[in-house]
Amino acid sequence: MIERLDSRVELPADFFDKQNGPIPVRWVDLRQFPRFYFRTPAALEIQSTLPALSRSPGAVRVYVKDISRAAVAVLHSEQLFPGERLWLTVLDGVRRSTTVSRCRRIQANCYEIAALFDAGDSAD
Amino acid sequence: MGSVTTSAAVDQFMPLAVQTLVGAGEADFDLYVHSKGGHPLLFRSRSVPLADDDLQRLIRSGVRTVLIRYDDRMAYEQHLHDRLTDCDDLSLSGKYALLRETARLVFESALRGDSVAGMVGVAEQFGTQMADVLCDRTQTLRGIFDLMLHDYCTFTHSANVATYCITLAQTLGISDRAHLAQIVTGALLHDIGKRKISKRVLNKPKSLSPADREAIQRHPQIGFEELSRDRKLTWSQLMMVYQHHERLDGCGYPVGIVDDEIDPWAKICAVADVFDALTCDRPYRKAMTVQEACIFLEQRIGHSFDQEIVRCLTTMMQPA
Repeated sequence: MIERLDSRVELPADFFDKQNGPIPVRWVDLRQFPRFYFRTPAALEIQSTLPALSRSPGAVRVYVKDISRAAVAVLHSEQLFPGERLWLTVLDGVRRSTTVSRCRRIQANCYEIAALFDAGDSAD
Repeated sequence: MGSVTTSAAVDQFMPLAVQTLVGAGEADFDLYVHSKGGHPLLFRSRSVPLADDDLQRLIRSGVRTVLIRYDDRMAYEQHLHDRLTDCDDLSLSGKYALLRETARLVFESALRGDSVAGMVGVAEQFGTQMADVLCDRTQTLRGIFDLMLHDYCTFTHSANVATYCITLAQTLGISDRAHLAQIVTGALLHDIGKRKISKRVLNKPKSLSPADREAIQRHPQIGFEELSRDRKLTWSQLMMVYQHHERLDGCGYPVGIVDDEIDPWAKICAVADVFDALTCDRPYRKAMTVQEACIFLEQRIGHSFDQEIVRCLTTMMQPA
């Protein structure tokens, strides 16, 4: 089902190169939990956006980059903004509620979106 | 002139622009100037009427700020309020100084209250008033530059950036008064996220460590997060807060977006922000001259800043 969704994200060339295990920690990291490489497609749907912004409804295909107990990073073709709430569905078919905490441009049509799992929706 | 206060009392005083006192007459507060030793020196007691000639003499001798006791703040605010409601006789410089001073005091109160809605309300109110004063183009930007304070305290910086933004926006073709007021409001709020950054980091006199830099670079996002739920602000105003450190080549922060992805109002705010930062004294360096700051911006056209906006600013800053 996820594979059939529309996606315009342009992934970095090395995105699917074999990488697994924990992501090395930088000394300035303030993260609570270790992150793990996890490269897989996912369905993203906007749950709610910000008062001054409008978004079209519907799910699109994005790609999970890494995941921890508290948060997930996905690559998406659009810039999302801190505070927007998302539904994310990964391989297991379970829909998880998340809130965008940060966005960084990787290249044209590719933004890394970091989102925190909402209470009761962690990746445990 | 009268008594010198003790050095221990210096922090009980607040500075204010001399210009805002013109026409004060029988203002109900004591007025102090800085002595050569840096201590407040009584200039005029509240029992003595404040003559405009005395104030003009101070201004001519290069004194731009005087001091009052914090205890007298309410009386000063009342004076500002009275003058602002009846200021038809004032020059642009007088109106501008009054408005900036009033905005500073109210803004500082709102900051202490830590109410984002309160700050947005104040910024909106002064956005409209500043647009009314500054849309009356009887003075060049270079002329207004001389009226500005350049001490780089957060409010002074925000007020200066707002002044550059509205003047640039007008010259670039934005004529709708409501939009111009929104631009001033957005500019007044653009650094609101810095409230959450440690003063130790913001005022560090030496170069920043990577951790300090990372902390400071969070302020656009912090400000955006605080304001983005406020239904009174438009998207472009929010982008002035979120994107004013983005650069055309993608080397900015917090997202690293490029040229067309940056909101036009944020591009204006970026140029205004850097120009004011360069022309103010900072904890770690002296202010650049206007000419040096213009050269700095010109050298970054195309990769950091929009050509049209920079050219517009540098042209307006040329001496008459």
